[in-house]
Amino acid sequence: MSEHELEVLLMGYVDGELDEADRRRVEEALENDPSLQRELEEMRRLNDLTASLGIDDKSDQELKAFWGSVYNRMERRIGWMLLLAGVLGLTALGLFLFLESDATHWSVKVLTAVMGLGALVLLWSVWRERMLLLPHDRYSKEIHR
Amino acid sequence: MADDSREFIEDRQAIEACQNGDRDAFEPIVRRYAARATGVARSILRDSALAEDAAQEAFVRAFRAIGRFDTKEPFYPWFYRILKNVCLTKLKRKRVTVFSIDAEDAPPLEAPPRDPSSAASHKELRATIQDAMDTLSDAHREILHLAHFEHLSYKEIAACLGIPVGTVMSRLWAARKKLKTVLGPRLQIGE
Repeated sequence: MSEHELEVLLMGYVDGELDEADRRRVEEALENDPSLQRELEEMRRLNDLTASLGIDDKSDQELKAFWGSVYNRMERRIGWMLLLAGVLGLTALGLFLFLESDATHWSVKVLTAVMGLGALVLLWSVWRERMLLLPHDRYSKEIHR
Repeated sequence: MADDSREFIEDRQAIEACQNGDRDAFEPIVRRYAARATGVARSILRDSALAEDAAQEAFVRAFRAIGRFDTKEPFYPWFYRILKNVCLTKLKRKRVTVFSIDAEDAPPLEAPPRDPSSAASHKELRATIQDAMDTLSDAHREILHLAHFEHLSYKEIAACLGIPVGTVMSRLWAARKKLKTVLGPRLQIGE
């Protein structure tokens, strides 16, 4: 066993992660190796130093507020999607009827069409940016796992 | 990865209820993992408000995808990957490139000491360790966070990161070695 392998096993020993056979191997190696004993001591001290640094539990009040926000988001997402679909549908229909109408002067129609085109360009730009980012996002598929 | 612990069984029951359309059944899951999720998000984003937002967003995404979750697997590693994804997306938007626990914006400590002098030294120790962690690579900081702050086992870390246990051991060993080297002069350990 190389020195590196032994040190990695030693770390597993300190963390209580080794099986019986590996634990015995480390203990045997420790018996006759003062430098390994020193390494063991250093690893234990490092673990002791960080042992008190953890993540605090949230209070019941905080958890209640947190869950409330999550719940509201879950609920509101559906509402927003329906609202957005309605707004987009109505806008498209309104625009079509407006451009079709004979009662409006052609210059108003042209300017309205330009405004609509601008909105489409913006939407296209945002969508393209997202599509360019996604292939480089190594975690994008994690939600599907 | 099968797990018969009480936590695993409770999670599975709650998730199965969620999969059957019970939205309220998600509450115990959120309550169990909210603090850890916020801690992980804060360690990535270095911003408390953004971290809270990211953690909540990750729970919403997890709930939306819960139908595809395999209840034979533990929940946290699956959720961790979603959370990390949300945080990285937020980081991209912020154009922040660091993965770290900021000394000033670190997770609150477990049971802060009541004695002021002890509290001061505790704060100092935290700042020292976090400064040292700031000098490490993203991968090393991440694995140290999971091992030292979340106290996960090697198997759990492997599941969170999607790597074999052997890789967890070698990466964690390298990360600790570097941390020890950085901390050594200040805390009289390491080389």
